[in-house]
Amino acid sequence: MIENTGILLSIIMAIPMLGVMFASLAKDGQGQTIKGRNVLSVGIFTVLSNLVILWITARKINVNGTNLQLIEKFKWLETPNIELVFGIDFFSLLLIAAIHFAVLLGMIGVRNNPYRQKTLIILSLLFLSMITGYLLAADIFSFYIFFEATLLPLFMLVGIFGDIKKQDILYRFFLYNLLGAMLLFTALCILFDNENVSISEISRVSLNRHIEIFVWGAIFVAFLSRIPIWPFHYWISSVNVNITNPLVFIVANIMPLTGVYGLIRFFPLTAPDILEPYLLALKIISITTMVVISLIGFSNRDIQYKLFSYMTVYYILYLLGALLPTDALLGNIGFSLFAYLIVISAIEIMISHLEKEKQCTKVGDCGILCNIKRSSFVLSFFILAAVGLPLSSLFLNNMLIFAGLLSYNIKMAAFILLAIILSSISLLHHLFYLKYPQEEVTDSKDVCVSDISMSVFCVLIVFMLILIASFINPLWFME
Amino acid sequence: MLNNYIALLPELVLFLGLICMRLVKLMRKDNTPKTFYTLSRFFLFFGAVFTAIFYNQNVTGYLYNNLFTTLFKILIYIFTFIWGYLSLKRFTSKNMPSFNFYNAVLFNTLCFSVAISTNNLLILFFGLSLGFWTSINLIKMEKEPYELNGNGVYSAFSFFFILAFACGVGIFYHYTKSFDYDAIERALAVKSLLIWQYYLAFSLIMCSILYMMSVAPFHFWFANAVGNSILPVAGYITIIPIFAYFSCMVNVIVNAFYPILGWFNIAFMCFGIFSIFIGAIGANSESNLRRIFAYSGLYYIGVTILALFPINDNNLVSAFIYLLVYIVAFCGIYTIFYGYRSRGDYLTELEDIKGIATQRPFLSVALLIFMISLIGTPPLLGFLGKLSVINSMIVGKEFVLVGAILVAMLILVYAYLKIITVVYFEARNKNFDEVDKGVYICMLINIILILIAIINPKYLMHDVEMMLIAVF
Repeated sequence: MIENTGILLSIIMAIPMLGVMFASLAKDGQGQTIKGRNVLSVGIFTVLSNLVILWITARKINVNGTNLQLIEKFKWLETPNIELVFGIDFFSLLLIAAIHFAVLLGMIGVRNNPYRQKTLIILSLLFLSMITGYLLAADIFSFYIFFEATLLPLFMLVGIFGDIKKQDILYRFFLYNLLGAMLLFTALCILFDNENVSISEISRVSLNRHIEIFVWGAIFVAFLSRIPIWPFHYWISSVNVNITNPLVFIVANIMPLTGVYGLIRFFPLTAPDILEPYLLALKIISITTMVVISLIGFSNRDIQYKLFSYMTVYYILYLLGALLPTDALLGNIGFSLFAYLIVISAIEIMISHLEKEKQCTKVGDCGILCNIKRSSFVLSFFILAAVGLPLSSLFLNNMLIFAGLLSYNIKMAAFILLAIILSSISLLHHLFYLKYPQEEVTDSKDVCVSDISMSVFCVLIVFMLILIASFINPLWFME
Repeated sequence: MLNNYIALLPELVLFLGLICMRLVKLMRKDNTPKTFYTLSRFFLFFGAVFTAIFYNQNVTGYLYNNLFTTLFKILIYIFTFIWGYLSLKRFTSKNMPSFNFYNAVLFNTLCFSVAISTNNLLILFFGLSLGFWTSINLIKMEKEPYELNGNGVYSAFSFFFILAFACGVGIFYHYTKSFDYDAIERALAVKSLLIWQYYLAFSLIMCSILYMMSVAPFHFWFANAVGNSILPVAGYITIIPIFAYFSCMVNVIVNAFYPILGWFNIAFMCFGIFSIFIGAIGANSESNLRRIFAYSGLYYIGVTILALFPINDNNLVSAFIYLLVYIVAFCGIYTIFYGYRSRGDYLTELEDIKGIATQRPFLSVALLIFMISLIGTPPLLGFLGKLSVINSMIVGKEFVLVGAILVAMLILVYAYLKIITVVYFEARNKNFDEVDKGVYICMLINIILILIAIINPKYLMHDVEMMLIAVF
């Protein structure tokens, strides 16, 4: 170990792994009211501990700095000479914090679900550790290591808790992601063979024409295989819409973030000339996917699919923002993603609660929120925040990202706006449907739908306050 | 005088062990399965100790020891030791005699030890052939004649390839008047005197060794042998002899046949590509666990061959790391097979282990870790093997080979996904027996090795390199 300025980043990566260890040793709570509460407590405690460390880290970094800070280096191999480097900037800090908040919300969402909770928490913490490492990686090898390592816990989570009937979809999900990871690995080995460079310097490596096309093609395919863009959208959507466990849904929907983040980190400000025609094709495909998925979400009655469609549209929006030839929007993308991950996680746990109540009470969707005021309030808040009302940092920052896209290409921006409007309307429409009182129900006592507990309500209120506090800048508390 | 022969002490100890076991079998009536395990363990231990002590002593003219030979011999001792311990569980639980197995294991170790150290083609032939023939005969252990369907054919093929090996050795002796590696190398180094008989002899010897390694297209015997034999034998022939065949092949090529190797590099590449695709596709066509892993082993052997040729120090290190990583993971997987039992029977079919993760979670997690390591996913040890091989190929600008390896890996992963699905995602349909603590201990040590070695791979990548290049 050399040149380390601290061990905070290592601690941030290690804490979820410690959580995995403690969770695997925890008794599964036999004799308690809910089986698995011990392991859930370990999970929640682990995430909260890491949030505290993240807070300490946030106080130590310079928000205005453009380079990675708190660099930690580890000499890993001598032949070939590989050094693993980790660093953090405000962008990765925001994403790590948002992911921790999202996983915390997911854990709260599964507190009453005893089905294989130990496995669920262990795999979720493993995923959390791997994705944290991915967001902290500063050299090409550690980046690849964590990129591929995120795949296994997700595959296991989706396989065990995903209710996926067709195993082919699951296999394809794994194989396409593995293919992407292998391509990335090959590309990185080629780059490494030429010169041991950091991620930000990749674009200056001189390669011959064919190799350059292969390397950039491999990098793009690797990252795009994680984002629901055609032709990768089918299995991602098939996997996602079948997941009923809120924690698994949240974790599965953090996965596209790895693709967006990878492109943000790898893609140079000035794209190599050779990539220009391919970039145009990518943008057209992305926008077409956006519009088509938003239309499908709009026409679909299943709220899970509407949420997935909303998420896809926004992930592609961030991707397109990242591909613009400027890094001025990077901060806005980070601030927006911070709120976005919290908002969709909160919506997902509310939807999951409603689905469970529907199954227990055999009532329909229509007007289900009328008699459960806490749920109604929370869901309304988060859906309104999601569609862009001024309740979170989504409002201002999405507007700026969109303005950036508009100034770049007005025709493309028009289609993007259409997709955003459609996905927002579909969410609002469903909210209205959930709140619309049924005429035949006259006595509220006839409907015995349970509201969320007061403790969960309080937690969600805290998250609302976090969102409101982060209205302009989630890092307002820092100098 | 004594100094000249002291390096034979490990082989002498093993030979004494064989005599001792035979005497105990003849003279002691109340032998248990543990008796022969204890005896073999004792002699293996001292064999390993003497091998380590006399790591650089030579026996005049015939056996040369150096860091390269010692590394492989010690690996054989370690894995034989572990596998012998695990095999005892099976013989004890079934209360079956263990003499034949432990006697063969000790004899094989003796043969392989001699073959690895030798620089004489005749001794190499006897060492490898006797070792291989003993392994082939182990397959018949505890089998009734009607259960040995097709075994006669494999025995005939094995005999044929041993004969081919003998012919190759004979041809070289006929033209060079010596079995010595140096003499053969000197003869081959004179290009003007190269004759087609040399190429034929080299081909015969290499094909025989590749047959023993079960490299495609000589792989046809292996999956059946592993699938039909008892677990101790299946694990033994999968894990241990490969070290001997690999080291002997490298040793004889580098020290005797190097001048004519260039002519055969393309052939080795073809064998490697055949192996990776046949291994990957074959694994997908099977439903028997051991046969699935036998075919996937073919894939790993294929990659090892691809990484090895053309032989140089970098390629040798890459191939060795890959081989070692694969053997460590396979040792773990075969250890898990000892835990897959229901009503006393060892389970071999995918159908039999449905939903085992719900009742035996640690076994299932271990299986998952080993398979993920075999795929080469970071942060497990398998990634190191993948990194060393792919990086070495990219340095050599062999992009087509990299593509072939990755495509075949994707096909192979599909077979692993089927196993993961059966173990984790399907409902359990039977009760599984308690797992012996010894199995858990071996499994845990293996997992720790896989998890820890990746954190500081300096010993694997750097120190082992120092030992391997001693062969040049």
